[in-house]
Order: sequence, then structure tokens, then C-alpha cells
Amino acid sequence: MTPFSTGTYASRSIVMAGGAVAKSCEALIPRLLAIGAHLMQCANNTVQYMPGRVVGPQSSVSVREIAQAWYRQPQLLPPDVDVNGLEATIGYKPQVDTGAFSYASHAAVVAVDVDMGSVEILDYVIAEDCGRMVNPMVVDGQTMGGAAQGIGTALFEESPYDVNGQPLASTFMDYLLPGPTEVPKFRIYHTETLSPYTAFGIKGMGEGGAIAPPAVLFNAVNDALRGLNVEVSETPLTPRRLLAAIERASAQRSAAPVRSARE
Amino acid sequence: MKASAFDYVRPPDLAGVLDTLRRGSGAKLIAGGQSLLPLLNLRLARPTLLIDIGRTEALRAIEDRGTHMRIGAAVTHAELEDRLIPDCPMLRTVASGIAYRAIRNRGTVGGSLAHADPAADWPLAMAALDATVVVEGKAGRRRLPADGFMHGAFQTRLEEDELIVAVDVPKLSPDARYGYYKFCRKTGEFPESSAAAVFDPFSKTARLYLGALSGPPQPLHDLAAIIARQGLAAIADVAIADAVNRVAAGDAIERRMRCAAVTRALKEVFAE
Repeated sequence: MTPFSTGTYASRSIVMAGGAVAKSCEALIPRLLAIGAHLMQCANNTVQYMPGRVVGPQSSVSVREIAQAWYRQPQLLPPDVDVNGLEATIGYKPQVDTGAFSYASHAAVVAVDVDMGSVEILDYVIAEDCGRMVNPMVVDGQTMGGAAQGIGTALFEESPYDVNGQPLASTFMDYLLPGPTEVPKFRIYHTETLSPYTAFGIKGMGEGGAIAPPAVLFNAVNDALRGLNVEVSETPLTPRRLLAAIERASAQRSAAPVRSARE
Repeated sequence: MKASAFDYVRPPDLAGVLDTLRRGSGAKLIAGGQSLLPLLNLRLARPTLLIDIGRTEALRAIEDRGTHMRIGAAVTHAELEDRLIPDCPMLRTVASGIAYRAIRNRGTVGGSLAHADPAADWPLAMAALDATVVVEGKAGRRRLPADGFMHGAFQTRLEEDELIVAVDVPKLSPDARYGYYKFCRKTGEFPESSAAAVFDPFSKTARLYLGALSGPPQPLHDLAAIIARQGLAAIADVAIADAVNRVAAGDAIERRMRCAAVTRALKEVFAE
């Protein structure tokens, strides 16, 4: 549960919510210790919190048992129990709150079909740094999803309008998205450079995947077509745009000797 | 969006379908619905009556007729994908490349020919295979060559009261070779360019067609005849380009894609 906030965007979710959750947990620990100590019939200053448990000199109780006492068996609670119970709402602001986002490097190997103007992604490697990885599975998932979205930006997605302002891509028949066959199997590597400004050194996870693909794919295509003196830069790289660039370069090549002859 | 209101009938047999079609103005036939349903939902088509022929037995058979195979109009792409007909191997190649499996499970051969999308696979493949479209209506049965059955984008020789019953696909000899190439921007999309070639030395067949144009697929018969005589290696790129430019107007980019599709289809034919 989160109190109302402005939403999940700009790499905020894990930084803001993660920090607030950590602060809330810190606020709950003394309350867990007090109830746990009472359940074990020992003094507050003889117990300590271990992951998932309150541990006393001779025994321990789980957070689950403590919660069971608070919510269902009030007769077991200490007389001076904190009436705020096991819920806490704590605000959080990182030391620097202008954004803590992941860094990433992408590298791609592509094959370009110079007759059809298509680009096939043969290999795609991502090195990603989101600080502390809180949930590695989610980190990988968000990296893949972001990169897939970036491939859409690079190669497919476009909302053109005609001269009268009529949108030309108003359904998914015309607005192409990358599907499973257009998204390669990414090779993903992580480094964990902790942020000095956030709880646990966490950095937001959304930025690293989606931003790089157009740049890396266009660079790869330009490298592949270096010999033809072709340079493309306009997204999305449709077959028509790519072939137009190849045709332009070819026209310039055939024009070039004439120029040099005149000089 | 949702389709505008329509009635729906599923007559028990072909006679019932023809009878309903004869009486119902504003009626539209539906088999797999893979093109019609999006048109209905976008309200680009607003029939008052849908006549379902997807389960009409007489349209569902694949029969060996000696010189040719008769493919029922309501046979799905998936059924042709899952079954190798040794004398008509190209049917499986083409069927397996149509859109993706979910569409192939429902879309039908007859539906594709009747819809007559210029970029669709069957109008191109059936023209190259020299197939014959069997249609039936008030005036009885007619047989129309697949080449020319589609005469414009989304336009066919079908009369209002007619439907496609089957397609007769000539059998090829064991020496026959075929090529089919199409370029799609992504899996499941209609192609940007496509070409089909069928060469059978036994029957002296040399057929080459260019698809995905603004209208129906166009034959490149002269080029095919020269290739049949001289082999592909003797053919210059410029000869292919000339043949392509004669049948289809377009800019340099379209020409480039079309020439490549034709060349690649031919390379499949002449691959060692």
C-alpha cells in the first residue's frame, strides 16, 4: 500500500518507494521488538531483530507470530503496546532527489539487407548498472522490456499524419510494434555501482533499456553500410528510409567522378 | 470499434448458401473472417447479413482429381501447412508463410482469393501455379483462371450471387521447381514485395509473377521463357529490372525491392 503520490516515472519507483519502505521498516522494528520480547517473557533490552524474527536469549518468535498477536490475539500484547501497531507511513526523500537512474551500454551486431532495406539483429548485449539490484529477475525483465521498446523506436513505431492532419497509423495494422520474432535474445550483464545518495545505493531501473537501442542500432547499420557511404539518422529506420539513403549515396557515388574530372 | 448490426446465418449445405446469397442483398460471405472481421469492426464493411461458409462440407475437401488437386474454398491455410501434397509442394510453402499460425488456423484459401488484397499470398501463388478458380452462382458453375480472377485491388470477377467453391491446382512433375519469396517488415505483416516462380520442364511451364503491387499480381512471362531456355545464370540484373519496370510503375525504392523479390524467387528455383 502506498499513500497518494505523483506516480511511477523517471526512475522513481524503487528509489522513492524502496527508500520509504526501508524507513517504514526501521520504524516498525522497535514495535516488533517490544511485542516479541513480551511474547517470549523477556526484557526489551535482551532481544534483537534478525531477518524475519525477533531473537531473545533462549528462543525467538517470527514476525508472523508477532503479527498474529497484534491482529488476532490482543490478550497476548504487552500493556504498554504502541497503539500504532504494525503499520507505519513514512515519507522519504533521497539526499539528492534530482534522479538516480541506471547507466547502460548496449552493443549490437546487425545484418542489413540492402535490397529490401531491412535490419536483422544478430546479437545484442547490454551491460547495465542500476546500483543495488533489489530483485534481479525484475531488473532483467525491465531491461528486456525497455530494450524491446527501444527497438520499436529504432525500427518500427511511427505516428505519421497526412497533409490534412489525418493520422495514418490509427490501428495496430498500421502502427507496427516489435513482436517476439523482432526482439532478439538479449545478453545482459550487470555491474552494481551503488549510489551514494539513495537508500542501499539503489538506482532507478527504467532508463537503461529503452534509450540506447536507436543509437546502437543506427550506429551498427551505419557501420555495416560504411562501404556504401550511407548514413541514416531518422527514426524509425523503415525499409523505405534505409533504401532511400542507399539510393542517395549511390547517386552521389555515380556523380562524384564527374565532379573530380572537372576539377 | 464494434461492427454495425448484422444478421448471421449458417445454411446447412452449399445449396442453402447459394440460395441465401441469391436472396440476400447486402449479404457477405464469411469463412475464416481474418480479413472481414477487422473490416467489420472498423465499419469499413457494413453487411446486413453474414452467411457463414466456414463449416460448409462441400467447400472443405481436398481432392485428387488426377491432373490437378481440388482445394475446397473453405480449406484453411493451416490445413495446407500441415499436409504435404507431393504433387503440389508449393501449397505448403506458401501456406506456412501466411501471417502467423493463429490467422492460418482460421483464414481460408477461398477467402483470401475473394478478398483480393494485392499483397496477399494466394492470388500470387495461384496465378504462378496456373490454378483455376471454380465459382458457382445463379448461372451455374464457371471456371476462371487464377491469373485475372483478381482484376484490381480488392476486386474480383465474382458476381454478386457467386461464391468460390474450390481452386484447381495443376499437379507438377517431379522435375518441377518453384520459388516463392516475400519481404515483410515483421512477422505476420503483409509483404512489401513478393514474387513467385514455377518452372516445370515436363510440361514446359515457365511462370513468374510479381506480387504486392497496387493491383493484381503481374506475370513476367517473357522473362520466364528466356530463363527457361537459357538458365538464370545467363540473365543480367538489368533484364530482370526491365521486365519488372514494364509491368509495375514505381519509384526507385519499389523497383529495388521488386527486382530483389523476383531474383530471390528465381534463385530458389535454380538453387543447387
